[in-house]
Amino acid sequence: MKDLRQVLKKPLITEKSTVAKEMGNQLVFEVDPAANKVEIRQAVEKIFNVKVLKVHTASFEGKKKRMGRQMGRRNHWKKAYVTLAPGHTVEFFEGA
Amino acid sequence: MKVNVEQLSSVERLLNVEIPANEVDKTQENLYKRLKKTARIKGFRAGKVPRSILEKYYAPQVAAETAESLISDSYAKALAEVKLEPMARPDFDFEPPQAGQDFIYKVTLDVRPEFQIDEAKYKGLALKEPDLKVTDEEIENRVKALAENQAVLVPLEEDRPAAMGDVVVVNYQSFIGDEALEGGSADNVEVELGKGQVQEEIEVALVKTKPGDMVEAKVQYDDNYRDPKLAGNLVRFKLLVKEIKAKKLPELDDDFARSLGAEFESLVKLKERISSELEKAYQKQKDSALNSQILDQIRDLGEFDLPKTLVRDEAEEMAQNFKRRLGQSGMDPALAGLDDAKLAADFTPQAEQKVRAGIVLGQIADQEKVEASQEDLDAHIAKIAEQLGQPAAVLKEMYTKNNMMDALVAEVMQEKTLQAIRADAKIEMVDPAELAKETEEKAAQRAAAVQASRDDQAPTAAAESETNS
Repeated sequence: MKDLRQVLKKPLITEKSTVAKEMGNQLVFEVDPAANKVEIRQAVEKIFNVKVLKVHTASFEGKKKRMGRQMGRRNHWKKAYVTLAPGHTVEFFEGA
Repeated sequence: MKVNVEQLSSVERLLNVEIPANEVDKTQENLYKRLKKTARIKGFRAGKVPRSILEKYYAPQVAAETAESLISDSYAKALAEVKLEPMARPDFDFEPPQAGQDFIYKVTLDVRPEFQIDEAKYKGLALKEPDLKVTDEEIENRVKALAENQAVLVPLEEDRPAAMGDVVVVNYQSFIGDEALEGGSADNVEVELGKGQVQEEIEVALVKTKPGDMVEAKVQYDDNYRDPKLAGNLVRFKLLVKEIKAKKLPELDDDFARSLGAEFESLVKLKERISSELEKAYQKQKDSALNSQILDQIRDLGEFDLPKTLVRDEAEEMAQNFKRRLGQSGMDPALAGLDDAKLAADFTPQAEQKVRAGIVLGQIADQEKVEASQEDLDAHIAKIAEQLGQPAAVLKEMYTKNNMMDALVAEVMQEKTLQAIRADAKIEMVDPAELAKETEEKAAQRAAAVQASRDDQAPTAAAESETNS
């Protein structure tokens, strides 16, 4: 991955991610499947200007879908749980 | 809640209402709680969306709802606190409420002007009541008109020429000079003589004819006759009489009465019904004549400023009604080149008069302590129900549901006040025709006065528009 801006695809805001933020100061993103933890850490630190403690990732296979006779599948994707150092927050993820 | 009033003019007030922050928060809290149950946001199960996320999505909407709810809760209380009664719909002005801050809103409203009317001025008004009575002759005429509608045409039995009142079946052709008119001929046309259905000259020519006769009539049309083809021309009609029919009226007996409807058992019953209908119609005419005279006379009692919003609302309503009537009579208001603002402006003088009369009437109601009781209301509803042919209970429910009770109370109050004034008035019976003439003259005068005042007000505008065109 050359460009850090292509690492993070979008924030995931769900029940689980809200709990993760509140309990463990974690942010959750969908990231490029080719990105590794080091790149994710660099991307978050650079883009949001915070200190990252650790990064966990999980890979998901895209669901198999059928359109009539054709079989197809959605894209594989990767999710990253990014734990921030205590005291660090990102304004975007805080409530209104 | 803090309320203070500013006096903008003798009839306008500015209300300033302040609602403490904790109440704002409480209302907002409740709204969010309700929202939480129904909001569906991707990534969350229904009812599990945290407040922080809800706020992100719904803040403006909740703010508006909070304002609405706070105002509707506090407005009536605020009015009661400062003892004001608005006359028209008030204008609200506010910034969206924010959590933890006091919510302030401003209301501009019109109140009833304060003034007193000298009792002597509305007691003992001289009124003229049209002297309308149901006479036997009128009833007879009505019955005859009904019989006329039921008349059947029968071929003439005896051998006699056509007379007035007969129906003549003719074929005709029309000419200007020697030229036949296009579309100026027809066959088997029924002409009733003596009813003015056709030009007098034609009627005269047809009298005393027999079937098979050929007659000619010449008609000189006016220059401004509605059909341009005919206007100003001497038209020759050739008429061939084919048949003469007599109108046979039904016998005026009980059978005739029954044929008009099952509820009329006999001719006497029919006449009674006609009599009561006429009676009602006359009573209405009398009432409206008296009421309009009262309004004319009391309108200018008392000096006060007119509430502007009230006049505006009234003028707008009049304009809307006018447009609706136009629409009903088959004209498209948009095509007629009427625009709402201009129309409302045109109705403003009329609206001012109506508002003025209404305010004076209200003041008199106050001074005379006129009140609308529940019985009065019920009676009024019953009357409307009869007119609409609906059960009173249904109507009552509808009025209550649509918040129209207040308007109804106002109507009853007006009615009762007018009655009270009438009770104290000196009423003189006059010839209806004379009264009609008098009112017409007065209306013309008033219209002229309105026109004059408008010209006074806007001489420059008129001059400008002239130079522009």
